[in-house]
Amino acid sequence: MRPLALADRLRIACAAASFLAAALLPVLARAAAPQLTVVAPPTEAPRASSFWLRVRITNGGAEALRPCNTAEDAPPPDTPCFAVAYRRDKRPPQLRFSRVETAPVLAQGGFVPPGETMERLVRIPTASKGREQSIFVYLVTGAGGRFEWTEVPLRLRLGPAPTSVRRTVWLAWSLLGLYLVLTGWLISRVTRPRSASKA
Amino acid sequence: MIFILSLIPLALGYLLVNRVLGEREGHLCIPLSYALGLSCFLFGVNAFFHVLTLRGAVLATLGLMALAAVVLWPLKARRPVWLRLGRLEAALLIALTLTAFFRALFWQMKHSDDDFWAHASLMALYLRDIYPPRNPFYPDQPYLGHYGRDLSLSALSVLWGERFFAVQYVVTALNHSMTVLLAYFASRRFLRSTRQALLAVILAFVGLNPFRHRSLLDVFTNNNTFVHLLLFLNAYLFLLALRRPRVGTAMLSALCLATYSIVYTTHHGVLLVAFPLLAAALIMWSRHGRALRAVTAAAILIGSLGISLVHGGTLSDVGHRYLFSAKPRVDAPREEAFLNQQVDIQFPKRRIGFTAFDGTPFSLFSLRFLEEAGLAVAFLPATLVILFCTRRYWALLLALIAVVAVITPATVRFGLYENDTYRFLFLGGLGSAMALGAVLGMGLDRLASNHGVLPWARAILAIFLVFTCFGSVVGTVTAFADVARRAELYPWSAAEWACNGIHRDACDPLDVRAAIAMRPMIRAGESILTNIHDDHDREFIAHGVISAFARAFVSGHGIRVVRDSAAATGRDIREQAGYRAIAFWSTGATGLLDDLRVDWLLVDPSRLTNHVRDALAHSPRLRLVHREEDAARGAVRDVYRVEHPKHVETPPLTAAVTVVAVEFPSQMGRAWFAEIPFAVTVRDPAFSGKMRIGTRVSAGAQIVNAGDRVAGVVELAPAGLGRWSGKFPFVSPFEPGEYDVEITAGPAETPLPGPDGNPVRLKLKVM
Repeated sequence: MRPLALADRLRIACAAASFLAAALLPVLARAAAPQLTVVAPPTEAPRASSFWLRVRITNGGAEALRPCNTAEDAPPPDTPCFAVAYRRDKRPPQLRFSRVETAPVLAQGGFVPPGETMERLVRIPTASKGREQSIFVYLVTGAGGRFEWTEVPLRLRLGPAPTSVRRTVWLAWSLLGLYLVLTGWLISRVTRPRSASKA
Repeated sequence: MIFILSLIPLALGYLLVNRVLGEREGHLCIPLSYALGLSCFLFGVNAFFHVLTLRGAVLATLGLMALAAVVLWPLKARRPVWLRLGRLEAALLIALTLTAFFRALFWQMKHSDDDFWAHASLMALYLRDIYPPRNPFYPDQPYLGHYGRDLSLSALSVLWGERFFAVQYVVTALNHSMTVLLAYFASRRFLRSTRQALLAVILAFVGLNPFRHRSLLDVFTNNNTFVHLLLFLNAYLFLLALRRPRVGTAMLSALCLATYSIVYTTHHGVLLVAFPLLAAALIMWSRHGRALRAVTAAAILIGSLGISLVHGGTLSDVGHRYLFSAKPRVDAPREEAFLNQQVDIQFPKRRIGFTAFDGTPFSLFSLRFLEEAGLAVAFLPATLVILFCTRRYWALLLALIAVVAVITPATVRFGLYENDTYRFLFLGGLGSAMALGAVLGMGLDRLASNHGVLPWARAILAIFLVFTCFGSVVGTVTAFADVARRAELYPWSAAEWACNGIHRDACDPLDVRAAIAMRPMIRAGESILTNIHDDHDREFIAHGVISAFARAFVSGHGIRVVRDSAAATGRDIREQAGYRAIAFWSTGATGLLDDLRVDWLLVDPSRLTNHVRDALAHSPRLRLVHREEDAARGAVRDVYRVEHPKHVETPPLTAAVTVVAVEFPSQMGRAWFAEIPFAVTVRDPAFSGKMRIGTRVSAGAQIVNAGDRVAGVVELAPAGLGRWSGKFPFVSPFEPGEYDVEITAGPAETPLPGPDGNPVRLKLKVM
């Protein structure tokens, strides 16, 4: 077999390099892009209350990672940004910030520096009725004029409401009952036909 | 047991009503005693608080009130006469009074307050004896607006273990129900007609604005219950003083009118114009005692105005600026005026008309005007003439109040507060509705025969009432249904309410616990800087909660300089983190805390970068004094005490410094932090490398970071002969646009020149 000429070798090396680059580019890009992950999502939560979801934000890029502007009329992001959103009970018909509830993660001026990882707790309210609840959590990253939405579906078993919540419910209903009974009783008293005067 | 002393204002109120005013109608005496007691209590506390602590002012006021009660007791007592109420009348009054009480109570249990940040924080700061009030979020700024309601509640809470939230819930609910009773029984007393009084009260409380579904029953948040209760009290007292001129009545009227100036400035101003008009009408119709009535009216108005000019609030500020100050009158800059509520008045306006809350202008002859003020305003000219001719003075006074409340915002420009005209228009709608109700009642009285009102008149009235009252009735039923459906959102305790329920996104219950733990550590007047905030929390709930529970100022807030003056009218220019605060939380450089003038840090470490977390933990100027922890979910709040150096030494500029290189970005996002590499040459061989560096950011001629300039001592590294390099902190402006940035140095913040000898001006575009 005739050995390959230098030019052919170079051509093959270039093709192999291009192939490898094409295969590895998404992996490299992913490593550079911000990553959001949910850490140990809960499976149980108290009813009529809220639970806390731990979100890990990793900034693998070279720029500071800042919270996205989630306003409806906000321009698409040019620089890397992130957001956490959720919707209870059912999936949003469209992946838009107006169709979900955004959870505050970092405030104005806050950012994740390049190469750093941050963990934040996101608070999500639970239903006051039922035994189970579905929650669709969305980890959103943005850059280059577009958002990327990653869905994390959660199925929670709802336990009894905390004692403080039960006490609140009991007190509110008692006050409501007092209002209704007192008003009804006083009105019935004043509208009752008056008995004839003894005189 | 000290809470029993709360009965003293009520007792004095009753004695004043019975012995001084000579009021005999038993039903009227109840709300009148309550309102008069409250007004006198506030007057006394406000007066004594200028020289005593709040507790001292409360006790001195109660002592004086008790003494006054002892003096009044032997005077001739009038036996109250109890009216026999009709069935419908009694049923409606019971329903309205109890609904008003529970509606206000439930709303507060769910929301606590409207403009929570200002009211709750101010109440908390009064308990630290911070008086005259200062802006809770900008401690350097005085707070010149009305403050009577917050002061009353704080003062009363002194008698109830300083539980000012609970006192607020109950007193607000009580005020609202007492307003129903006072409005009704005062109307009935002066109009002498059940129909007129009932229609006036029904239209005011449930039929005021059928377009916006907003009537007096729905308006009870923040100052409103004090405003309306004392509005009817003042109207009653002034009319009584004119009809039966006596020294005691006139004095009480003057005192209550003066007190009203610190309760609600706008309405007080309206009364100052409407009262003389009523006096003129009454004097015109009087056959005798004209001079006495004129003297009484003048004495009340002059007396009350005299007190108002000195005892605090907006009028006292106006008096200070225009009358009593030897210095030439200086109005605060626009942004500062917004923060300290300094009102700038211009009369007459260039364009007659109103500005809605959203900034939209509208005319007096527009549908928008009716939507804002209510349907009854359309009938105001006719009702005014009818009431004047028929001499129904109570209703005439309400109509005059409505006329003044409508004309004032149409002709006077209130500067930054121009879009607050809704306050006037609601009062205009209230006066118009009650006047219209009185006129309709007069019509029914005329139509009524021995067998009552004719059926066709009843039918028309019923249709009219359904149309006007439907919205408010539905709104009220919906509000109570919500209590039944979502009872978990209605906690009694404010500590349980805070950072839960509808405000769960604003903050964390752990923040409340940390703030409560900080309370005993904090001294009066100290400030907290915190990194707990969220851009979506435009009501500043998180910082309001921290301020109210820690009873301290929360500082480090920013001011957004809005260049377009037309767009800036009434626009909220506050930012939760100012430039210095953003720079501090981005670097952990404790030197920035000197300019911020903060005494405490409340920190959520999970929001910090690793570098800043380490910087705070190892700073010799910060002492970790408390840690609040929720181990179950791994959440932590750290409380640091900031140690301020006795002398802040700023390295002086001993020789000429020239900027030779800056790597400044041409474009940044809003409120972004960056460390800017730069190099300078210093012609001083003894230069240590330490220099205070800052920036001055301007848009045209306007400096946008005045008062919040990020500057700090930077340690420069030698980079050649006479050349030094380093990085200075910079935060981009809040508003998008194009800016000029100058680099300043030294204690005098002198702009540094470039190689050409001119100050360096860098261009920045904020997206």
